[in-house]
Amino acid sequence: MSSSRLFAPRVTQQIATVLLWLATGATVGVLLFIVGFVLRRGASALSWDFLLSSPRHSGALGGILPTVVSTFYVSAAAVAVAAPLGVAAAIYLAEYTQDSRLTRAIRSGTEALAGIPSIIFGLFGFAFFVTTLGMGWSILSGGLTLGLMILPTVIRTSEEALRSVPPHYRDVAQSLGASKWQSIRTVVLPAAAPGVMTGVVLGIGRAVSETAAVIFTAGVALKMPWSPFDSARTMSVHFYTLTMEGISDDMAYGTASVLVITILTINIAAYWLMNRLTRNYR
Amino acid sequence: MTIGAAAPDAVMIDISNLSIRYAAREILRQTTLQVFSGTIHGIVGPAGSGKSSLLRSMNGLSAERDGAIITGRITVDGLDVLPLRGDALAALRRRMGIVFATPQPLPRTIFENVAYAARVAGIRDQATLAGMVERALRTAQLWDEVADRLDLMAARLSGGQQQRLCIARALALGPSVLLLDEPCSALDPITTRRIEDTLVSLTPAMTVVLVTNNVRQAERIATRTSFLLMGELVETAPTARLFADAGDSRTREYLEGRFG
Repeated sequence: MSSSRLFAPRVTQQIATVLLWLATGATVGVLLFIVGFVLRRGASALSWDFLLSSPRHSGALGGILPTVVSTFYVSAAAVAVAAPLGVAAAIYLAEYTQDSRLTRAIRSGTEALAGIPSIIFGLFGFAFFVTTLGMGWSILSGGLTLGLMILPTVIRTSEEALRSVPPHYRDVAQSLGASKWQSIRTVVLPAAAPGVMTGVVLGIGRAVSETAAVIFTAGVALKMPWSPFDSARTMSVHFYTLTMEGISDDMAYGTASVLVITILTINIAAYWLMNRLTRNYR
Repeated sequence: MTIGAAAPDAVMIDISNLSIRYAAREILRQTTLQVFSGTIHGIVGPAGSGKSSLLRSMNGLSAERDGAIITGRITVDGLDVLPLRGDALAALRRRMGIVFATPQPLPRTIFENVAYAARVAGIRDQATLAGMVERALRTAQLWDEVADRLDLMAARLSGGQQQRLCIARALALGPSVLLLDEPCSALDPITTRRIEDTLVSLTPAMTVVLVTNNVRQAERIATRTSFLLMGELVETAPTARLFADAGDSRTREYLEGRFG
């Protein structure tokens, strides 16, 4: 028994428990406060009509249907770009390379990409996709830009997930005559699927809520988009515009409420889906 | 299927001057060893003596999966193993099953575990698969326990059942060689006994290489036994002679339990 101890172990244990509960409570509390604040301010605007009709007078009246559709298209395009590319890069890094100068360079490049502010991605997307490649302000430009932005998240979480698959799965598969690719496709990837999905969902969350990168690339057109080459205004950009141009606070918070509910729904749905998919793996 | 089984002294696995290194560490030195067709060949020795590396080099796992650097020569039924890559290596592995120390079911059902080798070999016909699965499970003496629940996840079986499932899985394609890496190290004596019975029943149709750190197991079922010590193959002899009258004093001391 050391005399330098301030408290008995039991007391230390209790203090630690209380502190950890407080930390958890504070985290959940902040989340609930923000969600509650937005929903309370937006409640007056929320209705099926708000969700399903087009805006009038720059969004001061009417609904937000085109922005909901635009958000869906832009995010879907981003995931369509980032998921296959990111998972493929993760498979390469986790399964096909030894630790080397090259892989360290790729990894630190990925880290750096993750640290770049989204507005810089917006600027790049504007210069490259919108101007140089002549795609204009469009769902395509916005989706490609967001895809690049969420790529590091997908790569990192997928690589983590692949690395945490027990090595003996690969031994077993290959010893039974599976090629390396067969063992990855039939055993390793399914086992890593929950982690890969988590990365993709985190990416979707970022894409849905992103403003700065989208405003420069997808534009602000407030009409229903019909093709990938149409300009589109996402919910977060709509919220930004309504607030910054002082068009309507009620409509702004109504939009924000829909955005928050969307993101919560995506997360809960993904969690539920992951549980279902992985039930067989436990 | 078992090409070498006709002649009693035919060599199934012929290893000459085999050395295995991992980076700077030498695991096995200049090993020469012959495994005869249709017999159980025991390999005993203390932990770290290179038993597993030797076994895993026979089907190309240690080079591909563990990054081992291997020199020398291994032939299986006349086929030179070490240069094999890709499809040729996969083809070899379909003729050489392997079972690892701890039961390692894939996260699939019982049926799909046993059918895995056939599926990756491109066999799609459900009746064919079902036939292979039943035959393999019967050979591994597991059929009666799982016949009515083949859709159960393999991880739900007991440890002993899981290991017999792994044996069935390795036998599904009817290989001519079965490699086992301390297959009973995590099991109780009764399950161990059942597995030993199974291994004996596989011969002489198949050749079995059994790495074990339980020398009694080798004494019970191996036709011939090799003793490995710190990367050196000390000696190989018919099991009874090795236990009664080993040529090397280190072998005698190890088998008597004075070290290891």
